[in-house]
Amino acid sequence: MPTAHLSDRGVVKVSGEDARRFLDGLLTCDMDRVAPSAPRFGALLTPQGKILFDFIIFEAPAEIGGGFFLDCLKVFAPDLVKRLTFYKLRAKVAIEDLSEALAVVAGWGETPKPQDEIGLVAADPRLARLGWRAIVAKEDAAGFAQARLDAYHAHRIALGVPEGGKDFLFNTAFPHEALMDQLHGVDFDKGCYVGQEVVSRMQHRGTARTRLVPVNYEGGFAAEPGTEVTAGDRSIGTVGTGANGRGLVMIRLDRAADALAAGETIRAGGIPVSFEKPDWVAFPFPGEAAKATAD
Amino acid sequence: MTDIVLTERAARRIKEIMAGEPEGSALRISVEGGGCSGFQYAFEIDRTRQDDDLVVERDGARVLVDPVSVQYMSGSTIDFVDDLIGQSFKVQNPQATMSCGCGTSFSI
Repeated sequence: MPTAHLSDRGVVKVSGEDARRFLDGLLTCDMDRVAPSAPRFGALLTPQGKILFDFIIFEAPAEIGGGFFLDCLKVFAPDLVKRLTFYKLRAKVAIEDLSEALAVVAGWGETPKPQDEIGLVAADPRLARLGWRAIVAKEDAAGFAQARLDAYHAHRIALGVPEGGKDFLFNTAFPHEALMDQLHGVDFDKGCYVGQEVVSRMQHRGTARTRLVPVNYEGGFAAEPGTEVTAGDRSIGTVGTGANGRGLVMIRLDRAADALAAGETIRAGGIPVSFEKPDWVAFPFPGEAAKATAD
Repeated sequence: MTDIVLTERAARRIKEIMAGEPEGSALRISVEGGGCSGFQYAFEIDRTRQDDDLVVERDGARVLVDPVSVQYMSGSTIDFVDDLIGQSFKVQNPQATMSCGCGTSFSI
């Protein structure tokens, strides 16, 4: 029944009367669907559609002052503040980095969700099996540290859920490549946001050929992040995070499928790997028998 | 640089719209964050001119632009177009490095 203080996460607060509309015009998720105890996964993209920051957005209820709390990778929190401020112009919003005052904690397995009257605790909006997530005062984080941060990431990696800044570098990957379309991180029915045209085209034309997928490493040790994924002597992708013989790799799905069809071994950082399709993923996986097309 | 100009078509269309509005109404154009390319134009009818607004006039039509938005729009030509996508005001902005398909948002 583990809990962990996600010490690699920071918190950026966006508040003020224009906050919801301001964020809705910028982010991949529909802010009308964010409510207290109903956070959403989202990202701020470049106009070219690449992920600059990904985060989970919590809303505080009006009784405690309201506002949106973006649970993001801590080292990038100052840059996120800068980028949001760049778009602020005359919008009535306040943007602050609260990473020194607040902390993100998580619990999974059989750990019950903490009772919390302020509403900043909820099931992980990406995938319920990740467990719950909460934003708490920093001094309270120690009460949620039964497990180490590594244990949380091993749990996340076992489920096949990638994270920005760890499995891929910011400003390199499209939301589809990072599985954001599979993890409820993009609302395709909302209005315009930064990068929307590119993301929408990828969705409707089905042109996402590169994806982060989970693999099992032969021998039980994962490769170093950033090393190459190869089929024969060809590079087909890059290694992301790994733990306990499981890992995430960013690969060209078509090249991986061709290699498997040709009987080639796919290696990540030199170690043979096999693909394992998570049950929450809805796109064809390398090595998976092609689905019969409609007649 | 506060050189924002209206085309004759835009001026005519603004006058048509204002004919149905209270005396002294003007078209306010502002830039806000958001939209496919990061910044988008907002158009609204406003009766109140602020002291620090830039006022652009042509043929009796009046456009108001706040000083923050002016920085993102200097050198722009405001036009009115009637094409397949619909009728709309278009801002030809020399500072925009790219814009989206519908033309309401841009990058700088």
